Amino acid sequence: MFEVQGLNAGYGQVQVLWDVSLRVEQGEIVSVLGPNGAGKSTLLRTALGMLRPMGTDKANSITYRNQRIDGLKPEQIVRLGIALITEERHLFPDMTVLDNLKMGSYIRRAKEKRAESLGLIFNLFPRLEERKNQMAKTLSGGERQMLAIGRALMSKPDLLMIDEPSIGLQPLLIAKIFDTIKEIREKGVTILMVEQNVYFTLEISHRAYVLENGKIVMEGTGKALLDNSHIKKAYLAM
Amino acid sequence: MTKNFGNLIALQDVDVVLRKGEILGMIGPNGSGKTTLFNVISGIYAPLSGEIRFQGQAITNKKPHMICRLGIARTFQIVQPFGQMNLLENVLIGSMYGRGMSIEAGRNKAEEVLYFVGLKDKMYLTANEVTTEDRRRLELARALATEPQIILLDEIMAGLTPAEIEEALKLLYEVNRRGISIFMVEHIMKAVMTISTRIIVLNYGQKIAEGSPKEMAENPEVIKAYLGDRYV
Repeated sequence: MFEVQGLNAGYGQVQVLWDVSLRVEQGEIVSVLGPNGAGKSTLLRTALGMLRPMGTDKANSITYRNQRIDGLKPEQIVRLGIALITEERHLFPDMTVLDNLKMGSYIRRAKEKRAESLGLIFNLFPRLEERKNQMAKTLSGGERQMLAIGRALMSKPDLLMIDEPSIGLQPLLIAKIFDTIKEIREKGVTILMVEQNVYFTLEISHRAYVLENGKIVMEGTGKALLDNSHIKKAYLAM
Repeated sequence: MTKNFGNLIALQDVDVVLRKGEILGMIGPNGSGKTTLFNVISGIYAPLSGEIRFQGQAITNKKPHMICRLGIARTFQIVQPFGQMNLLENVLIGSMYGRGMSIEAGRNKAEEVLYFVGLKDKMYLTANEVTTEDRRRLELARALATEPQIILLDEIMAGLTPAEIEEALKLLYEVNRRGISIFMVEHIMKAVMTISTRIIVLNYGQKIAEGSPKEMAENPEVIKAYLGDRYV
């Protein structure tokens, strides 16, 4: 469904990603693990067209449903059915929860289904319905996370990319957010995520990649990686 | 301490004591008032009622820059660097502002702190050019550059890997060893349970528990409101 081949990317003269390849099949939850500064967020930003790949077109390719999407602008990529939740979330603080959600549904594929999407999101996050008329800036950390996920789902994506879904959440909510991701996937949305909570991530991931110093150093099923000695030592502190 | 936002009571009758040399942890659900408490202590919000004393002196309603100069520094959960300025300049503001220090002395202090947090090699990069983790270290560096006696840390370990958490803990032990008392909000249990000498727990703006890390991890009310039964 989604494939990255030989991707090089970075900022200015500084190259962050080196020859990165990965694929996501329809219906999968795929995760990218790795230390801070390894290039995980850069990978997602490049995939969504917020950052152009470095070097020649031949070296880099990003394809989605057999169509090259590297070189497209983010708004074009979103229209194809990919959404990204950035680590900063970028909510509209002075707009209500409801208006933030609506902002996610201005593309054609989503507009007609706005009412249906809202129903689905309120079903997933009853808290957002309770707070729909409240300004986004008054939400707590957990509620902001819900709103960012909700707004992304409003665009009716087939592939949802999430940067650090559990960051800043209390322990009780961390378990819940991973349950929610599983539920979203069961509703037919394919997931590519970057996460630091390696234990919960690998438990729900079909497959995962490990990115260190800008290179993919390991790949495997969630189960296999949970048993891997390098993962245990570096990421699970066991 | 009580603090309201309009009709909403964000903090209700909260008592906290931080002893000299202590590492006090604060946990509680998202939205329970932890950052608000830091905002009141650091002078960003005035409380509705209550008093804050530092070394016997009342500091309630003092301006944030005054409180910082008295010796209480803080970091922000959502990092607040001057993006277009380099790391050295960012830290210089912390070391020099309001102290009448020479540029040379301020710079020496700033460089020492940047070295201490591991950012010396990057000090000529702008804050916008470094990673999220480096920006969080920069928050700590700016706070330390003010030479505080107390430092308030708001989730400085969010998003770190276990190996990075180990590094951050070492850094905090060293900060504490230099005589700085620490009051920290942290959701990463591995970190807060390890380093804290004592922990307080907030829920819906009230302090619901206080004690050793072990006592808090076994407290049924804390498990129900905050930890859940599946945390790792």
